[in-house]
Amino acid sequence: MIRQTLALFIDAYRELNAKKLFWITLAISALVVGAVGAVGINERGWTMLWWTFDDATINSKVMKPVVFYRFVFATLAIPIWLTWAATILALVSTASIIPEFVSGGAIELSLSKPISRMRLILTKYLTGLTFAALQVGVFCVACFLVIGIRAGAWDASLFLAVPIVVLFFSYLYCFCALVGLVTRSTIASVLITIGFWVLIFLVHSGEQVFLTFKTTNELRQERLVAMIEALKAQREQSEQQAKADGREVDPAVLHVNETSMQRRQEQLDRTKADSKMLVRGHAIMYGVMTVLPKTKETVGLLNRYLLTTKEQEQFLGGDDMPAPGPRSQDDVRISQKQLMVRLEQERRSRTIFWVLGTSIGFEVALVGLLVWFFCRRDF
Amino acid sequence: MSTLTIQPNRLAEANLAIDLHEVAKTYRGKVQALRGINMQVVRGEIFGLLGPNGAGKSTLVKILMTVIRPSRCTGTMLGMPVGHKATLGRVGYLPEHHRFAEYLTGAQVIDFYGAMANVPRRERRRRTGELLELVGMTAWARKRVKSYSKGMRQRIGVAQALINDPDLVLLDEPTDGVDPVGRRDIRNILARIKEDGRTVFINSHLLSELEMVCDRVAILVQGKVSSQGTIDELTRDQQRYDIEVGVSGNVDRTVDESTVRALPVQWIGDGQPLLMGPSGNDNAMVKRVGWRGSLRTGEAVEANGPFIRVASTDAQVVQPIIDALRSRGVVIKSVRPHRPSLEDLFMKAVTDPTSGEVLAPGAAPPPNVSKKGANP
Repeated sequence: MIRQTLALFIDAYRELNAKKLFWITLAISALVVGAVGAVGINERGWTMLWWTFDDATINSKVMKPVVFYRFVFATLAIPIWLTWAATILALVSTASIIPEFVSGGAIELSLSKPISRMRLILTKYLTGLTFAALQVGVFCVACFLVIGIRAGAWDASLFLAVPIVVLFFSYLYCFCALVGLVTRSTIASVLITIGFWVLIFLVHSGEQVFLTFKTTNELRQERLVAMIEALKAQREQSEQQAKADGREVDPAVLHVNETSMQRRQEQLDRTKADSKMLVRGHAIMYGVMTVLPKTKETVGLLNRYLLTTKEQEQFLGGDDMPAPGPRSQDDVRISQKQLMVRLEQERRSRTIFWVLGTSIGFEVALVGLLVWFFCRRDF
Repeated sequence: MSTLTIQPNRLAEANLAIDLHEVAKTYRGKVQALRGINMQVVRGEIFGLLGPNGAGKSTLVKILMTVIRPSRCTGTMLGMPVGHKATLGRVGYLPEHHRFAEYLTGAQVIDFYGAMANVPRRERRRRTGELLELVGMTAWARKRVKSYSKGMRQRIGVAQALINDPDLVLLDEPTDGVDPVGRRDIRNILARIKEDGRTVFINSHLLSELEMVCDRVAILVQGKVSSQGTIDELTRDQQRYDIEVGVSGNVDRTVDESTVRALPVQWIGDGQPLLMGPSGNDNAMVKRVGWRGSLRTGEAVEANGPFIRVASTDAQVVQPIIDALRSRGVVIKSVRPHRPSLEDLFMKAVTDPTSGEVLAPGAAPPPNVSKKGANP
C-alpha cells in the first residue's frame, strides 16, 4: 500500500521536475524572499536596501521589528506573491496532473493495478497539493531565516502560512481536478478554474462592498445619533443656562437647534431606510459566499493570527477625522480609520468554522464528486 | 458459422485461467459492444482473441482489467471473480495504444508499474534488469521514453507487463507498429513466457502472428464469440485433400463427365453437374459449378474444373479415387493436403452466410438500425 503511494508521489515529483515551471516558481520565490529581506525598519522609518524612508508611524520606536516583518510577510508577501502570482503558476503546473493521468493509453495501466480507484484518484489529488506545500514550505523557511537574521526574531509562527496557503490552494485545485477529469483537458481546467476564482473574487468583492456600505451606514447612524444627542444636550444646556440667568432662551438659538435636530433626524431616517436595503443585500452576498470557498478570508486568517488588532491598527496611520463636536457639527462624514477598524473587527468576528468549515465542506463535496466520477467512469 | 467449444469433461478437468460467462457491455447510446461472451482460457496456453475492428476485443480485455465496468459479467480470472483487485497483482497487461510518461526512462517505466503492482523494491531492481535484457532494451534503459521508437516502446510495454512475475499476461496488439525483427523477438518472448508455465492472452488482428504462437483462438464478431478452439479444431471441417489433374500437352485440364461418373463416389443429383446462379430466372447468369457427392465412408467429395476435393485429412481415404483416375489414364498433377489458414477461418467468421457479404465492422447495430455498424 505504502509502496504504491510512494511510487505515485515519486512519479508526481518526476513529472513536476520535468516541467521547468516548478523550478521557475521556486526561483521567483527566492527573489520575493530577497525582496522581503531587503525591506527593514530603523528608528527613523522603514528601509529598502541602503535607503531609509522617514515615517512617523512605521519605525522601530513605535513598533518592534518583528511586528513590522510579520506585517510584510502576512500582508504583502503572502497575499501578493503566494496567493496570487505563485498560485497561478502552481495551477498551471499542477492542472495537467489529472488530465494526463486519465488520458487514453496511460489510465488503463494505472487502473489495471491492484489499487482501488478511490485511493488512486485521491493520491493523485494529494500529489498536486504536495506541490503547493513544497513551494510554500520552501518560501516560509527562507522567510523564517531572513526575518531571523534581519530582525533577530526567530518567529516559528510564520510556518502557519504552510497549512493556510495549501488550504487556500486546495479550494481551487479541487475544482481544477474535477474539471480536468471531466474534460480531460489541461487548458480547459486552467481556464475554467481561473474563471471560478474570478467568480469567488467577484462574490467576495460584492460582499465587501455591501459590508463597507453597511458599516458606513451604521457608523453614520451612530454619528447622527451622537449629533442629535449633542444638539439635545446643547439645548438642555442653553435652557438650564437661561433658567439660571432667569431669562428666556434666545428663540434664534432654539430655532437653529430645532432646525439642525430636524435635519439630523431626517438624515437619520434616510440612513435607516438605506440600511434595510444594505442589510438585505449584504445578507444575500454573505449567503452566496458561505456556500463558496473563502479564499481571501482563509489567507486573512494568517493576518489574524500573526498580528493583533492593535498591531494591525498601527499600520493604518493616524485618524483622519476628529470626533463629533462643536467644530464639526455639520460634518456627517465618518472617519476612514474608524471604518477600517470596524471592517477589520467584522472580518475578525467571523468564526473559524465559517471561514474554514464551510470552505472545507465545499472542497469535500467537490473531491467526493471527483472520486464518484472517477470510480464510475469507463476509460 | 461453426461454433466449437471445449468438451465439457475437459473443461471440468482444466485449470482455467479465464472463465467467462455471459459478459455483456452496452455503452451509452445503446451501443452493444459485447453481447454475452462465453470464453475459457486454459492455464499455460497462449490464447488468441481475434476479430475485426470494433468487434469488442479491447472492451473485453478492459473489463478483465477493471478499466471498463461491464453491464453484466459472470466469470473468474485466476480463480477469482472478474474485478477482484488483488488478483490484478498476478496479471500483466499491455494495453493497445499505451502511452508511457515521456519524462521517464525505460527502466523507470518498468520500475514504476512494478511498484504499482506491489512488487518489492529489491525484486523490481533485479527483474527490471532481466526484463530489459529479455526485450533487448538494456542499452536504452537510461534513455527517456520520448526518444524511443514505436517498436521500442512496445518492447518496454511487454517488459512492464512482466515485472510482477504474472501468472497471466494480457497483451492487446503487442506487435502493433513493430518491425519484423521485433515481431519475431516478441514471438520468442511469448514462447519463453509459455515455457515458464504462464498463460498468455493476446488480442490481435495480425492473423499470421497469432497462427504462429497461439494454442487456441476465439473469434469475436460484433460482440459475440463466433467460434473458439484450437486452430485444428476450428478448421477440421474445412481440411481436405486437393487432387489436381492435368494432361500432357495441356489440351483440357478439366475432369470430364465420364471420369467423374467412374469415381467411387455417390454423386448428388444422379451425377448431373450442379448449377448455380444469382437468380433462378436468369439463365444467362447460370454457370456450372461442378459435381458434389460423398464417398461410401461418408467423406464429402467435390469435382470442379481440374480439382477433385475430398473432405478428409486421412491419406487412405483418397487412395480409391487416385486408383480410379489412374486406371482411366488420367494424369494426376498433384495431391495436396489443404488446411485453411487462420485468415480463411477469420473471413468465414466475418462473412454473412446468407448474403455472402463481409459484415460491417464495429459493434452490433442497435435493434432499430439494420445495416450500419457502429464503433463504440
